[in-house]
Amino acid sequence: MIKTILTVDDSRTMRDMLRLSLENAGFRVVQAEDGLHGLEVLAGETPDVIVTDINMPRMDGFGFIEAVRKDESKRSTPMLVLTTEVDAEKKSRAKAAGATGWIVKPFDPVKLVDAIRRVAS
Amino acid sequence: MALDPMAAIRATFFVECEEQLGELESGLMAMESGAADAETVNAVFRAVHSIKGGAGAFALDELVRFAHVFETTLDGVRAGRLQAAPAMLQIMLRAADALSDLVRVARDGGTSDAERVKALAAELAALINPGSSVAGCRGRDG
Repeated sequence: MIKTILTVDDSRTMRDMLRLSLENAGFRVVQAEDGLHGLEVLAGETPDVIVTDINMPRMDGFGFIEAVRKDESKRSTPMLVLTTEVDAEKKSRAKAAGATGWIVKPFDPVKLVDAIRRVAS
Repeated sequence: MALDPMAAIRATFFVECEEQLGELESGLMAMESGAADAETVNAVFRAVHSIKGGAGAFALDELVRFAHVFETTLDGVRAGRLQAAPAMLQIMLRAADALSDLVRVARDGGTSDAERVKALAAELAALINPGSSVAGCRGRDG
């Protein structure tokens, strides 16, 4: 069965790269431009994995992860954080908010797809 | 090569860079005039952060290095560790010009003014970490 991935990133460049990498790997991709938009998309989609940026306008990645985890039906959806931040404090904040894992930008498409397959199984 | 998806994404990146450079400049000018709020500072940070993120994906190393130093200083302002004093904003406005030049060189080819970029990177690094060198501030996720 084809798995659906929701990506949340305010950069068009990143959204396009994610779409290309993930569609090439056979995933169905839905996208949002910030945390609030991500929540709107989630009202009509049940992705198998969510990949989110941290630094975004309106609602950042931390707020988005927390909001998703408040929804009973999405409590166990794997969420990977994709950002250039490798700062330990931000990493632990993302984990505390409910992130499943962490991928550093610029991402290697092969590693990203591997990480998604690992958490989606 | 018109159908190469990476070439199309690269073109999108440079369009987005122009938008981010516009945000950066108008945000810094708002900070300079005292009209900035927390969201302005966040938007300025995100502009540089976003340029750095895309540049990393295309291995534009000189752009990544300078954006990283700039971003680290802006993060200090965002987190309240640094006060955006007029002298600091002058450095940041010059850094925004240098960033714009680096984007243009990455897009169109040619050479950047390496000495100017290095000197500005050192000024930015010294704001957040007085006495530091550029090399010492290349940073936590460089």
